[in-house]
Amino acid sequence: MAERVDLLQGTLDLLILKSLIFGPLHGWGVSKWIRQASDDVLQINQGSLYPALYRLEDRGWVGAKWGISPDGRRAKFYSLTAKGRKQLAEERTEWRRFAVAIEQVLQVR
Amino acid sequence: MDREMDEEMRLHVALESEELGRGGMNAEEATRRARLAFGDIESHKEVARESRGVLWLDDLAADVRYAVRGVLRAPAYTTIAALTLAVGIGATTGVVSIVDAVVLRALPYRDAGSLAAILERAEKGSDRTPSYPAYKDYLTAVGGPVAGIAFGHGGQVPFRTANGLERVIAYRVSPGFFPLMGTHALLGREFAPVEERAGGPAVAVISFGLWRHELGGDPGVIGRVIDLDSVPTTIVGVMQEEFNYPQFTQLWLPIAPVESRWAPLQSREVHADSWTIVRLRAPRDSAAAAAALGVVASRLAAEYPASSAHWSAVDFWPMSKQVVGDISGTLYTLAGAALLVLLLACANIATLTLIRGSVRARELAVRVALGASQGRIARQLCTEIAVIGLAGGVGGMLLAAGIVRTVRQVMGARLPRSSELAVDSRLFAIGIAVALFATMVVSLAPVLRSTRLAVADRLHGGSRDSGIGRRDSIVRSGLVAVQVTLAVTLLLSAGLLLQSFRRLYAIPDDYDTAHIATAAIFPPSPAYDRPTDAAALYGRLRDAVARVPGVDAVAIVNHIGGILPTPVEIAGRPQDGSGRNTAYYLTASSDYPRAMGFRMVRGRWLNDADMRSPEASGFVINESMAKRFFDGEDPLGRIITVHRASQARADIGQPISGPILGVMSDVHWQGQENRVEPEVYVPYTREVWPWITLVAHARYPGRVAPDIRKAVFSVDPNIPLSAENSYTGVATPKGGISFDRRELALTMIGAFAVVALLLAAIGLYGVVAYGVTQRTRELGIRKALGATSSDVARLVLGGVGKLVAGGVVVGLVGGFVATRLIGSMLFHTAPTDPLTFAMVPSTLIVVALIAAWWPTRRAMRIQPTDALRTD
Repeated sequence: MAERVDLLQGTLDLLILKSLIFGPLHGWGVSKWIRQASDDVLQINQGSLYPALYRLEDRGWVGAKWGISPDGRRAKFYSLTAKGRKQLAEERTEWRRFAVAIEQVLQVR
Repeated sequence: MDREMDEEMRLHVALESEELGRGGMNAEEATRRARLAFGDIESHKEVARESRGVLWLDDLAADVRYAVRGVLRAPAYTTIAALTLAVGIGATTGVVSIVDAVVLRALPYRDAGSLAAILERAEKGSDRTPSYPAYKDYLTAVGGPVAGIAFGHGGQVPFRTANGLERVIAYRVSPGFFPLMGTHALLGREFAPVEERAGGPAVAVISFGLWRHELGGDPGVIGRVIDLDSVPTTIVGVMQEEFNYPQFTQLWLPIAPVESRWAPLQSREVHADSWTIVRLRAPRDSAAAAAALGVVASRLAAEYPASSAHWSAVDFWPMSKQVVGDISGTLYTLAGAALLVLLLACANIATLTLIRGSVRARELAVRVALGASQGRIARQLCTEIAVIGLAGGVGGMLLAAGIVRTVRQVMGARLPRSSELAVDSRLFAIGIAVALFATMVVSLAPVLRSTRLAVADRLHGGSRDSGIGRRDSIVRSGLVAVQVTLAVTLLLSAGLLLQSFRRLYAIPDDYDTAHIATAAIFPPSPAYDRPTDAAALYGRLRDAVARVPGVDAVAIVNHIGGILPTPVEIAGRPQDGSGRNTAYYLTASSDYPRAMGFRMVRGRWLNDADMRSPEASGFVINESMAKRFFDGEDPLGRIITVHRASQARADIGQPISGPILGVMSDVHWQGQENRVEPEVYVPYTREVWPWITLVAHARYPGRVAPDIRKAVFSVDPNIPLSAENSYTGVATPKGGISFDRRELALTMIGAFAVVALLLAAIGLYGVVAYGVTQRTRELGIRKALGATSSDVARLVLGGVGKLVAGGVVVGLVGGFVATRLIGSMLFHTAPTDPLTFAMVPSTLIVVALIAAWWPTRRAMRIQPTDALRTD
């Protein structure tokens, strides 16, 4: 198992929003998607996942609904709202600028 | 919310473990890894909850649910605690609301502290109200400290309604009366200057009560014309409900229209049925104002020696005292008793809560072990107490409302400002807050302390007596002793009042109160203005009523019991101009003793011959007058001179003389506790009073009352006599409940005392029962070592006895002090009445023994094996 990388809260929000872009997922689904999409590098600390999901729900960036999972179990599914989509775009731009800036600093000889 | 999170997170763990299982791990290992990876579900939930910001609300809801469950699990404790709280709060709030409404609340006049009644004072100290001419003289002193003076004269006026002729109480007022009092009309307006002058239009301002009851509360009443004393009178205003000056007034009229043609107003001799009110510039100007008016009084004493010599000073009687009268003492006493009950209730609840807290010590220790913080536990206990408080509060509110409503009904008109009685919700809130706070303070500290003990101690040691436990039991015992003390104090007061009551009512009435019907007759003007016409009317009325079947005897009297004093001179004795020798002046017919049921002590009553030739007849006096004026000598045949006292007759003050024909027994018209004053009776034909009271003796007064009314109407249908059983109609002894202040005090304090006894008994039972449970192991060991059941009983009862004895001793001391305060309400009973002081402690000891009986029996039945089984 790869090492767990601690994620800043803002970054976690960004990843969660992105994970939902292809459709609704339940909590475990979000954590699995992020793991797979990052080739097992990013393992979400479960203690942060659900609080983050609830926070996003409070802010209106994701919506939550109880439904039936493909294997017949009851689960709470989170989906991206229109506001959430907008937020995702903004945060993505923000993140790029941030990442570019860090790289720029590290490149200085 | 909680369940959802739970479900969500459990699913997560399940899915994770399945995933791991697919990767080759066995199921058990997979589950374990998954759980580990996820971490503690509970703390995640807590974090998640906190992050959502509704943590405290959830906790509160949980607390309330827990509290309600806990409360339902211990129904006995809850019911008793809630009832105790209800009684304590309800009693206090009810009584204090009454005190507040009657005594403390401000009067509905502007700056009521600046209003007072003017009384003229004689050199030897007696008071009288000024006459109308004197009032006009006092007006010259207006200015500076005296902001204004008003005069009002009260009387009964015939008022024609749809139901016939009624009598209403009217108050004729001088110009500027309402502005001086500082009140405004509720509907319409007060008098205009043109209406307050002679020759102005006939107008009236009516009271709220009259408007509501006789005129149907019609909002269009302003401008309505009513028939008052055969004069069409226009209603210009309706007064507010709280304005009730003087008490029972139903309408106000200007004095100007009758000023010049009404004899009582012209005379300086008339000092009855009126009030002269002064408004001071400020309350502190009282002395200066009294001095200024005193100057006028001295001048009047010099200018009019016949009426005013020796009356040269002026006193003020503050409006507040005038309205409230002498009931404030009684009310304060009741408030004190109610507060004692509240204290007792607080002590009781604290005891119960302490005991319950000790019982739950283990449960609380477990919760501490499971991670509950002290703050959380304290909050939960507070919530529990608050739930009980809510239940008790509702009960208390109902009780307070019931008390207020009952007092208003049974005291009725006897209580001043009774229309303003209502439960004061501020007091109620304060009461509940005080009770809950006291309970929490007393019971939280020890309970919390016990949770700080090492948890292990609590779980293993069970109910072992530790140092902390001993301190608790001292507090408990102390609380019970306090309850006993308070109960003793209340019981002593109730006992004394009961004794006083018994003594008062053991005295038989001086006259036959149960078989008398009376009717006040006001002959209409002008048909009977001449004395001969009035006298003839009275004779016809007496004859008509005598013919009513069921009536044994009828008599005429001007007043029942004296109210108008007259100077008396005795022939052969030097004149004493000091005004000390006065007696009450009464006129009556020949059948008065038979109608009223009193007896003659010497000589005879006035007879028909006296009525036919009154100038040649004499007078009858009562025992008090014989004693005061003749002190041992035989009064029969002695010539005395009295002075005519009828205000409506022009010959008021004229001296009339005659021999004393007989002495009647003293009658306590005003009740046994008041002294009987000297009275002299004049034949009704010699002094024809403008109005009289017919007194009819009948076996069943209630049954003959309607026939009496019919008989009166058959003589003259214009005589106003209402159909009610009251002073405006034919009055008969009422069978219903009608309390005076003494009966009110007795009933309420008696009720408080009984409740106090009950509460103290419950508290005692609780403490003893708990004590026995605590000491089960100890008592079992004692039994094993050879103690008998009676030894055990003696041990338990000994403890109880010490507790009760301590409480009783302190209670007796406290009661001794407290009962001095009710001394004014006692009749022929000393505040240290030995019977009461002996009976109360005995009663309490008996009750305490009964309360402790059941736990003692349980203690006696403890087997040594029980000691081992207790854990």
